[in-house]
Amino acid sequence: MTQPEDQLEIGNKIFNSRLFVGTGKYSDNETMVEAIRASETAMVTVAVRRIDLDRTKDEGILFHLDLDEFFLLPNTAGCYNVKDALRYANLARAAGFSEWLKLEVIGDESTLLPDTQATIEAAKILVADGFKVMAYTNDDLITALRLEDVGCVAVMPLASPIGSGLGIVNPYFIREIKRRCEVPIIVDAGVGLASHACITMEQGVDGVLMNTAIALADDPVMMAKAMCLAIKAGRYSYLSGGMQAKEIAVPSSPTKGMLD
Amino acid sequence: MNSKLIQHGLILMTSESDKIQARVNGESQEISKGLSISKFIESLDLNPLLLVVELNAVIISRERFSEIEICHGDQVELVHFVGGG
Repeated sequence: MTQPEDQLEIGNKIFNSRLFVGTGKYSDNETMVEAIRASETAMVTVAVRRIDLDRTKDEGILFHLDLDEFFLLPNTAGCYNVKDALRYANLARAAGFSEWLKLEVIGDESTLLPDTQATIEAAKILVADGFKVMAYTNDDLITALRLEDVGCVAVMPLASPIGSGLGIVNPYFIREIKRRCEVPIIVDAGVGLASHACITMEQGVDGVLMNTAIALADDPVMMAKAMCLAIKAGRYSYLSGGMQAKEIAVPSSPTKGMLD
Repeated sequence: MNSKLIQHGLILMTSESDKIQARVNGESQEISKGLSISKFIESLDLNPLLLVVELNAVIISRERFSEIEICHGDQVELVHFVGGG
């Protein structure tokens, strides 16, 4: 129920949802499609990988996703340097669907934190080559500003490490990134529960991208619906201009007019 | 033994004359000599519209699949989209 005046625009494209979802880790493809539909997302991420020639041919995700229904955002997940990220980006574009890309250059295998220097370098090259780059980064303001400077259509700081489900660990820096950047800020990674998604949106960011939180829930379809509602709740909560918290009780009912 | 393979006094096995070795998705594979990329994809029962081909680290556009033959020693990568975050 996004209001027309509250539509999300990224790179001259309008999205009717502020929730973006991944397509990995689902137990089966039917559940994945059902969950994606329940999330009411407008954009789904996919990865580029070798075709497993020993397995059945319907392994590819495009056998299951209707491209009239969902906008594809290929990623460079698993890339640890600029060269590999560029290679995967070009393979993704050669598939012939669009020039949109979720750029990920990982710097550390254990935390999956981004190599921000390599991400900026790769983003600069890809933008010059015509890609519309949405860049995964950490919750660092300077990196976010640099990614905006080199022409990324969106900057995507993490809430917490990929797949951790810890929720937003640094709301202050996320708010500061949103305050200082002009491009849309999509928080990517770390959200685990619907409450996390809601709190993240309450920081004023433009959207949230998640995968594991939905895919690994016992009931992914129900969690997708919960995330859909939480994103909307968080957005409206932010837009409504919530009250200032006080460390003291203030009665809601009149103190005057009490009986003797 | 095929008599056509007896050349210059050497007896060549069919596999040595009609086949080549290429590396496909990281695995060494014996494929027919002179096979175009499109015929190779067809032989694997894959849909050419749903994959991307990289030959010796160069992306090959779909329009050129039928005109490019896979040669001995070539590195072929066949990739597609899978689930990811």
